[in-house]
Amino acid sequence: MINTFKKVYPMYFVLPALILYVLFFVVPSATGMMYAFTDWNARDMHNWQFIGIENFKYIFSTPDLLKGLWNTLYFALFTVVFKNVIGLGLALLVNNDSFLGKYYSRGIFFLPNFLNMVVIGVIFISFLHPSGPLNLFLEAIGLGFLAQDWLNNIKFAMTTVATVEVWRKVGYHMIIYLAALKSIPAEYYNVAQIDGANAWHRFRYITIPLISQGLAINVILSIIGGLKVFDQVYVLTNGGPGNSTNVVLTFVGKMFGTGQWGIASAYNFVLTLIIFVLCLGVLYLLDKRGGLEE
Amino acid sequence: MFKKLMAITVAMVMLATLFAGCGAKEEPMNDTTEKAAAETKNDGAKEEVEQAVAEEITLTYAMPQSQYKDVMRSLIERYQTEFPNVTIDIQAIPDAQFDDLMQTKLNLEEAPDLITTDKRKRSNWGVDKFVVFENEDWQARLIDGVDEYEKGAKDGGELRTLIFQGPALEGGILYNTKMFEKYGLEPPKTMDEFYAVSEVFKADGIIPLYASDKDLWTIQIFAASACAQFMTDEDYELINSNQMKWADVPELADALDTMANLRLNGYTNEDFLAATYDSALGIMAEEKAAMYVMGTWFIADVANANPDVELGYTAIPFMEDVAGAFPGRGGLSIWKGSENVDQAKHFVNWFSQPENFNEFQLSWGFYPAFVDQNLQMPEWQTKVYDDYIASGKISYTITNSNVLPGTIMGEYFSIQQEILVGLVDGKGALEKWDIEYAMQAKNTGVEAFQ
Repeated sequence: MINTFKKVYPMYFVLPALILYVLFFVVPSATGMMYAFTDWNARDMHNWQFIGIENFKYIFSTPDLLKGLWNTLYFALFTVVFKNVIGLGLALLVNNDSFLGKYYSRGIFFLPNFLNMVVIGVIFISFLHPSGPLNLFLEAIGLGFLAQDWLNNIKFAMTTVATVEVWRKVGYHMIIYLAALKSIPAEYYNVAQIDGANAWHRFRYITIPLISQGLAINVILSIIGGLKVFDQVYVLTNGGPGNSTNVVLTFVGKMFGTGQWGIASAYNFVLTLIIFVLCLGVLYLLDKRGGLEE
Repeated sequence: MFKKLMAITVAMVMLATLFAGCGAKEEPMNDTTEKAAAETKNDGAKEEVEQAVAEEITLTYAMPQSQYKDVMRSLIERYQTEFPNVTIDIQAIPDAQFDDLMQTKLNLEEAPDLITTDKRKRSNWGVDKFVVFENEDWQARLIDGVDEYEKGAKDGGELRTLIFQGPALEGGILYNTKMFEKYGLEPPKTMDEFYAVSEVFKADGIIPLYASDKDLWTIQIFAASACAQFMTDEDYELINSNQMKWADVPELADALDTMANLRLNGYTNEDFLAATYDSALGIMAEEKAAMYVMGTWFIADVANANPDVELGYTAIPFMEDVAGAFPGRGGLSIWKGSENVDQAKHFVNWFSQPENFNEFQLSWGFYPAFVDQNLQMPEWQTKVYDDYIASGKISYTITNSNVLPGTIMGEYFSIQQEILVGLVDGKGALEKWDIEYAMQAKNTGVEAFQ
């Protein structure tokens, strides 16, 4: 089989894509990592020097990075859990034949995924304003004591940003789960029902194992998406109030924007390492449970 | 063998096709570069500058979004009508992103032709990135002896901007004169007086002081202006030579704590962290608040929004009646790498003409910079001029000429927001700023910080 494949599709055909990949991904990534060990900056951009791990010493000596790292991990964890739990729940709902609005609902749930983050930012800044529709609604139904300055209260700001991201992306994850659910033959459920399995047993022993590949994809995508958080924070709070919602990439943006490119690269390097280690761990765990088997 | 050759050929053709688009744009770029080089040679000669607008051209002009007001739209439309060959493409960039974005554009050599700058911005971005003005018509018309102009405009003795005004007040308390009259109150000159008048307004359901702390640049005005009342040149010298820390100035920590306590003790609107300069404009124009900490340009903005509202100015009542000032608020500079330096100079010269400059300055509440302006200032502006500028009751603030050249103040502003949410107090904020200040000084090569 492998020999036939090689004969029909020679390996040179990979060359164009490979060259582009190397030129536009591998080389810039490797260069970026190299710059993490230099003093490259806007003031003297053509005369940079290797300075060892000085940039890393600086970023780990400031409490802001640790706060940014914590915020990034919190955002990732929050969004991974809720995107997947709600995404799977919605997929089960719109996959249910007895749910009449299932076709319309799929479109409606997926719609926020099409919206530009800046547009979402403008909408939610108004919606979540202290005198905005959400607080007015809470007051109207007698829950005024729950009203908050959602984006400017340091206790809630990060969770609010993460919730907006869940709202935006949950439809995307729903679609992946839906595709996985559609691939499960109905006979399995019929047989299980005849054998006396209740809804929970059918979900636990048929649905979950058979959507494990979709689950793995969703978890990996949401981890990477969560750790790479930037635009959500940038448009909703810009890291504020008082740096309380800054994440690693907003520091990168800030350092890059102020011309401190070596330090910005070091921040990026740290984030890349974290994403790499976490994803490797998750893949290992999923593989161990058979989630990645073909 | 034949199949192998075919496969290699197909692979090469695919590769060549993919790269075809990349090469196509190279030629025009070379043309443009050569044209730019040729045009730059014309620098200086007036006739050639006039000739420069004889050809169709688009000038790009970047400014902070809050500065793109109706007056600027109107002036640009007028210029384009008078010189139909020239189109001015305005890049109004959100204030919070302006400094970073311009720095990046300048570093990448993709900057707009005209940029609104000030001394600090030019220092941060690199003064050598801007055209030096020499023997321009408008330079001969500058008011003699306006040393503020010299301080604000010149970088190392060279003029790289058409400054928007003479001396400028960074900020103070802008108060609604009619409301103060109605309650029989005088503008506060001490913090005790401030609290007393605030209580009167609070008792009547009026917001005593509006605070717009979503915008970082507005938070810092209180302490920056207050520091003009206690920081000395010697203090700045000691800090900039690393012999003293910002946190070693107890008055500054006190000013920051005072600023925060105004919010936390209920003298401001509750939604101060969600409020912006624009919302302040609406609130003050609707007379829902009695005072606002801002620069005097805000008075003109409110007058435009509601001509019935009259605002007055008094210095931040922190220690004494001295107004925080900085040398010139903004100016018009030309990017040195521009392909349209002559055309940009033509616009700058046109902009400086009395009929245009007066319109611009009246809209902003600025003070004249040219001998032939005959600017008819409104009453409030004349009063501010007499009370503070003419009587010498001004002193420079922290944010411009006093910090080390190249200092990026964004973090200083951001740290002040941390005080408002209770993450640090004034002293703690200054200790954080000391770390950041030292790092920046080290990166810019200041010997004392190495």
